Amino acid sequence: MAEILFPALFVLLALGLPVAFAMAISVFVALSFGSSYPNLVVVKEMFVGLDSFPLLAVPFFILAAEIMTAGAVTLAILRLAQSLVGHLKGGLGHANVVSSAMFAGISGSALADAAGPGAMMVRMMEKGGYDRAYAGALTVSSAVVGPIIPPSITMIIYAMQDQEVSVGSLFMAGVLPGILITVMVLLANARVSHRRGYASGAPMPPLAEIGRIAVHAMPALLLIVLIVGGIRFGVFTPTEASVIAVFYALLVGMFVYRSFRLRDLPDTILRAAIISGAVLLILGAARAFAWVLIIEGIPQMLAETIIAWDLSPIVFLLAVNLLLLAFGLFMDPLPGVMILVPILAPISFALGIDPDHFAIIVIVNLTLGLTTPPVGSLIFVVSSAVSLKPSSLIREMPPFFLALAIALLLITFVPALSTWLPRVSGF
Amino acid sequence: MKRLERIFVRANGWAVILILGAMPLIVGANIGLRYLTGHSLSWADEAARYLMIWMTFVGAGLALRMGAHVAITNLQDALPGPGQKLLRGALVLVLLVFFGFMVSVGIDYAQRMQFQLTPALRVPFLYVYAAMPVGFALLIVHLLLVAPQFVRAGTYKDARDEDGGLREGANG
Amino acid sequence: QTEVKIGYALAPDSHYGVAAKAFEEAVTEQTGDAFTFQHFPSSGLGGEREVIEGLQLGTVEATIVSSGTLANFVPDTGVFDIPFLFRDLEHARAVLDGEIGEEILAKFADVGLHGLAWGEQGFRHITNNRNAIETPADVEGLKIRTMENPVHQAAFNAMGAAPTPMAWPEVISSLQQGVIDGQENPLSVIVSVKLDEVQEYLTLSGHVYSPAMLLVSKPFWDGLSDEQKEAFETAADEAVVAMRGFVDEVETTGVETLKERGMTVNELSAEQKAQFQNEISSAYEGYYETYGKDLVDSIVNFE
Ligand code: NA
Ligand code: NA
Repeated sequence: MAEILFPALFVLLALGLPVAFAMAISVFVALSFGSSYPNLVVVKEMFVGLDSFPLLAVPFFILAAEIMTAGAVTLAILRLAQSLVGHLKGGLGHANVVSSAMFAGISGSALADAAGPGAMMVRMMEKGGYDRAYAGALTVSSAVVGPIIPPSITMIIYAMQDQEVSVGSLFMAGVLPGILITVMVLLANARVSHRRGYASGAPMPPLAEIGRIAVHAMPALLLIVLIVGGIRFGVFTPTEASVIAVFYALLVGMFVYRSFRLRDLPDTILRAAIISGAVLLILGAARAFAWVLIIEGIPQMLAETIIAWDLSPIVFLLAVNLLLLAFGLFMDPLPGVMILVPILAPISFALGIDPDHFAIIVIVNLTLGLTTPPVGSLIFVVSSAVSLKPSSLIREMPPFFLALAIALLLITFVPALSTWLPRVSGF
Repeated sequence: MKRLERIFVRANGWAVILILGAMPLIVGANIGLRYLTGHSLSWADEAARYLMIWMTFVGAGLALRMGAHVAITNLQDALPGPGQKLLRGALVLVLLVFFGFMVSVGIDYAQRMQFQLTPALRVPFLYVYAAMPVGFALLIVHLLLVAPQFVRAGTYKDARDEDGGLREGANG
Repeated sequence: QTEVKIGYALAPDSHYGVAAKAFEEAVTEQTGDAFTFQHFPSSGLGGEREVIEGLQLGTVEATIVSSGTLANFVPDTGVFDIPFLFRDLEHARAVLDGEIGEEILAKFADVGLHGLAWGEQGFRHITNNRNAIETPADVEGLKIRTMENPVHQAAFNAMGAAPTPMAWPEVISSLQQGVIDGQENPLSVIVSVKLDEVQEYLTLSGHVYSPAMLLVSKPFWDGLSDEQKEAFETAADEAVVAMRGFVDEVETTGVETLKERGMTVNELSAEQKAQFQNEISSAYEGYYETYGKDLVDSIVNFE
């Protein structure tokens, strides 16, 4: 079946069918022409993929972010980021990167990060004298931290595929790598800004003013403290945290920023439902896809082969980086996690690699795939949001690819970056 | 006709809103009860999960209408105009056949599983699994409604692209 | 050669894995190379409910599952989940191997399944981080994870605990972080997932007996010849012997292992158990209503 499954998927994807449907149809084709299994398997496995309590965190975190970002919150974060780093050379660019990192603490996905403060920042940067294409490339690169800094949809899905990690431990594990990626992108921006003479933004406001701006942004930034702290101190599970985030966002939006009115609620819920429904549909289809591989015994076969090669953990991790980067050229993170993690995680565990560390490597790699052509959703979202040709944006990417590659290597070779925080938090 | 379409889309939208609106209330009430009274509702988690399944399928048609299902359009964009229309026409046909197929297989599956009861609510799984044929039937209607515009121009209805579009949250 | 895919939720070295292996060996011994087995341990084919659906569709041939899931398909199975129903393992095994067990086994034919034999996970015991449990007062307000099983939840609610149904993947980290105080499972599970790393107290409460079942797909069963059916029947009996032997072993060595790993262990005496039984009499009213007082009484009074 698998020899039909993959070619069918690639053809259907290339023709332009939506990912979820292309996966489901390729499973149908593989079942019909390559096996004696009934077609009902597709229906059954789509339900299997969806029938899970931890998965509820996906629609809830998306809903919380949608409520949060209906206006004033995004502005408050942008203003804080700008008051902190705007006065430096390339200051508007720095503010873009820092606001992405802060926004990552509210949203669970890279695309939300790019579409939220990202698009707004591109317009501000252009007014400040930056190339629009450069501003777009910077937005794409800094949005990578969306699913690395908690909360993270990708981490929720990953924890469901690998019994050795939990959503809580992954949320902790992502914090430092997320900060590292942010710092690397800041450095890249500093270098390019220096070379091209991008000016600094407004002068640094007086400390009292920064304090006032920070206080204003605090209720939004406290969400990440609430989530990470609540999980860290055992007040609630990640799934419960996602529900609490919804109610917190509602309170903050209605009573602190007063930017959210009850009559906005139906539209906001509808938006969140449609976005999360599209994510969940892909998950269901990816589960059906993975079922074919499992029933054919492919994960075990691959695992046995690779373990027999007797690679050292370092060589294995480098090979995994290459494999995942290649995979990420064509595939988005969630189907990537669904299909690859059941195969790779047991091997890495057998090689003695820390499961949290390995998870972060996989997630960073697959998320980087969002920034690479030919299939890079971040590039498409940003370029369509700011009316750019994807090709001109991609031309500005090389310095950031370099920065992100260095971050990836550091994350790969310094396990403590991913494991220290979960360990001291008792995971 | 336009009016009927508007009513249909609104009704579908409200169904989805009520489902996702109920989910945090149910799970939240359960957390609150546990902390305040020390008891929890045995059916809360289950109900929230099955509502999520319904939300996914009932919302899929609206997502299609707004272009929220991620697709790779590189090949499409590279083709000359008439070729693009031909390809998109073919895609619509493939999807219609697939959706129809899912409706029939979904009904078959739901019927086969109707004697199985859910663990906590003790309702037949028929009511859970019916989400799929219902959702794919809705997908057929939505696809037929957007097909002319999609084949002609490659765009969707109600896509709110100017404020970032609905692709933002999907898939990563 | 016919392929037999057998799926189960636990690891190959668990009581399920051992039983599945014994089953394969016994079938092979009697039928030569007519069947090849492919094992899918550790929920490789999905959760228990999903694997049973696979049996109904004919995509999976065999499985070993716990009773909680079986009640979705044959509600009467839930009667064995009633707390403090059985005095000891002997009592439980006698009931399941006897007429009552046979009757319920036969009901699986109505839902596209064929029940081969009853196995077991053993008695479930409580672990927690708050205090040792001796009287019902000790579980007052205890946040304890239970399965999504209304029979269990009713019992813990009646005891005054705060039962929290939670998906298994969230349990370990929730215990670690203190979101919940405790959980309950058979010793085999407590030992194999190393719950001692996140739990301090183990109370040998034996509050619920957990049966398991060896099931095959009905379409698969109907396609077997009479000799093959007989081979499968005897192989199932041998699998059950292996499973029960494993459980007996764990009941004795498991407690020692957990003590060595630093858990504080206590066992409920018969009088203490009677206290708990008394405490949940309100829940029993509900069980009588669901399963019939006659059936419940005939199990309790089985000699
Ligand atoms: Na995030
Ligand atoms: Na890519």
